[in-house]
Amino acid sequence: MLYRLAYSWCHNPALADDLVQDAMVKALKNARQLKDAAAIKGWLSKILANCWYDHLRRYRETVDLDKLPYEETASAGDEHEKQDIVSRVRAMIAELPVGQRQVITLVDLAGFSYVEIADILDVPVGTVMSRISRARKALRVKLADYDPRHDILRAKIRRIK
Amino acid sequence: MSMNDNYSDEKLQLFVDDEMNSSDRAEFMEAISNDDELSNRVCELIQLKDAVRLAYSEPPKSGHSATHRDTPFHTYTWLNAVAAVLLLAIGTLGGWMLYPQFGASNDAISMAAVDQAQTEKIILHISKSDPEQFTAALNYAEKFLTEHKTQGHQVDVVAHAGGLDMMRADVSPIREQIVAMMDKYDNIHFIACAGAIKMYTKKNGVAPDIIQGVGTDYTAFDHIVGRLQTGGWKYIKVESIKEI
Repeated sequence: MLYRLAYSWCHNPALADDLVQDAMVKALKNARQLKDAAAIKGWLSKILANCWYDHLRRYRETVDLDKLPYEETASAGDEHEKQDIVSRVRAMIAELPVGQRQVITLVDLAGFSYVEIADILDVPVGTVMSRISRARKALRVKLADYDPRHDILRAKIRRIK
Repeated sequence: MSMNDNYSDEKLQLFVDDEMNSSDRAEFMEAISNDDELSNRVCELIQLKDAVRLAYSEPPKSGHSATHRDTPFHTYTWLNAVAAVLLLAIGTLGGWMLYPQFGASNDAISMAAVDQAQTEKIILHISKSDPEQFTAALNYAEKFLTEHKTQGHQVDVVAHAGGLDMMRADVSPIREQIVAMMDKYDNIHFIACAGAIKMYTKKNGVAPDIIQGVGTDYTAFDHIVGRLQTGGWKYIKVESIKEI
């Protein structure tokens, strides 16, 4: 799950790998801070988010992070249709501002509650809710732009699942 | 006026993200069942969630480091280490063993149990002053060493916190068993946590009398992390071994 989250934020497999490893090292160094075993998922996600911020701070000096190109990965054969949808949705999410990208993946991929996400990202719950709302509105618009008949796209998503 | 007009996008968001309280949820469900337009809006949001999940259900795997730095350990090794060390730090999880026949498992155990079949070296970690538990751990170690007589198998028995008592020559009721194990096997090592010794000394004004042959150079934390980072070691926290 950590790798999936990291990848959904940066869309770069090698960087996602590095972020997870950095998070693991920090978790090891700070292991004694974790008092509640049930909180380990959120705790590790928070560390991962901080690693991502550290990376952004280092990188921001030279690149506009919200304009980073989405890194396409190869697909082939029977998986073409599914991969087409996957690639397009990933590209749409990659175009979201970093904050919106994080909340939408934390809630939809990791299944965190709004309160948990607020703790992980160290922002108010209201900010989490507004970011999720803005992210979904943007995705709906992008989805409609991608295919005005996006009922067809939705049907494909249902069918593939 | 359609009931749809009474529900903002934010309200729908609370519903699809399971953030509504039960009474609001019941009311909302009733509204959905009576309003096709509202139902369609909810379906659209649910489909968006589905699309996000689908997009990252199989993220591409990285074959190299982005920064090309040395990464001597595979990520799994780190996960093993983190899982084990976090359990060590928390110290309040229920008893568990990595071998299925000895007890329950959880996600953290699953991570630590990677490549169980190939395990040649085990760390038995004990944190309670419990002779029965420690004896069970010794029996487990003996069984492991008896069944794995080939070169390379090794057992470390690491005690910290209350477990330190079991390695004190003056109070341990199982001192004889520990000494006998050390005499019988070259590939079993007992380690008393240096941190626990330091705390005992500070509290009592005198160093504990540790059984001769027991290692005292490292803290349990450092020893376990060091072992896990070298690879080939499996971490087992012993808290409730019922039988061997």
